[in-house]
Amino acid sequence: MPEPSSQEHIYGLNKWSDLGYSTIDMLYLRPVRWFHRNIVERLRGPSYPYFHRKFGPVKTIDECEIQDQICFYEAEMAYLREKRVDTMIVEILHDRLTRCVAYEGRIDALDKCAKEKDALFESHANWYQKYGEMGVPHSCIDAYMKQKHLMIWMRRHPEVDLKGWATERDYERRTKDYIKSIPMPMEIR
Amino acid sequence: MVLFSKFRPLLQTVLKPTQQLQTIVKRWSSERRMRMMISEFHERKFFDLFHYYFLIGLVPTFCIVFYANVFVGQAKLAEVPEDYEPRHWEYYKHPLRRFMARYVIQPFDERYEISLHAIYTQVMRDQLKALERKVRRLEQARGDHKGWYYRPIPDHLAELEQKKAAERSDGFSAMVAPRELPPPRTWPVPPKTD
Repeated sequence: MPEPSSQEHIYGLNKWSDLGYSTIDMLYLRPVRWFHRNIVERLRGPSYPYFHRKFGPVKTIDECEIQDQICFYEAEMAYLREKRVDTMIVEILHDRLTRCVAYEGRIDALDKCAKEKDALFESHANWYQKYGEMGVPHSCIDAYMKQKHLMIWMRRHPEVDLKGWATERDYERRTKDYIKSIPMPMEIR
Repeated sequence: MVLFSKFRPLLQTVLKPTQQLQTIVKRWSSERRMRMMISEFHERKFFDLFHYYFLIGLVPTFCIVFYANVFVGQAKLAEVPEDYEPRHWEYYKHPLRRFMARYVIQPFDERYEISLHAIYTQVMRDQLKALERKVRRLEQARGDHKGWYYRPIPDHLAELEQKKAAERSDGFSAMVAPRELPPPRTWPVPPKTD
């Protein structure tokens, strides 16, 4: 499965998409590429770097003293940064699954995109466990309390399948059995 | 607002004014008929002024953005070298964003530190206010220290009232002279408070 890249045109699919792409190519892409190669790259100044911000380690909520408002603020900022990073991670995994399904097709994706699907489901479940269902707005203390209550609940109900992998596998098996049960010629399936 | 000036002649060619309508048309045909029209002066002047004031802002902006994107170019991501702390504007990619971060807006880290300082001062202020409230409360209750409720005159009645309150808290309702307390009780034993 290909990684995300700029849109590439597949010549030979049908003549209308060829004509459309040729029009865009002549009117826009070729002038822009000519301008970039001949003018911009010759006259551009020296290249300069930029860096990613590094945040130092701070105390989390469970290490803060009582009524230490400064510690609370720093822990809250760290919590929000973590939340943004985790949200981006889940979004990237979702994107990968979408691209995989678009590449393979809806039926082949059941077999070939299992890894992407598992990764997405697991990361989404973890994100929900950590940040979800607390209401908007919520603080880092609410998240800490949620973790505490969840651990207590899990200790009291050890037999419950929270993530639901067994249900997921059962559903996949049933879908595959149904698709296989439809009589179709081999070339189309 | 690009082709607005073409609307009116277009409408006039499409909607031919009939004899019943009292339309006013410009003198532009080759027939022997004088047609009168509302003046276009105000329209032309409005569009002229609009374009003038619009482009006063747009032309410099476009030139600056063109120069920044084409001739300066965006930054490339690099690892932070050892022993070097990047300046606060070197965390941004686009040259105009870097310019704004450098000369216009407050740095990100500075904003964070200012928030921490504000919280710290607020906490200190709250503690001092609480202390003041406690001091006032105690002075009002005891009335024995020079302060907001200081009275240099010996208040015999108030002292008598304090002695009576002590007696009442021990369980005695009224006492006649002498006004010294009897010895303290040995039973029930009061709980230890360390």
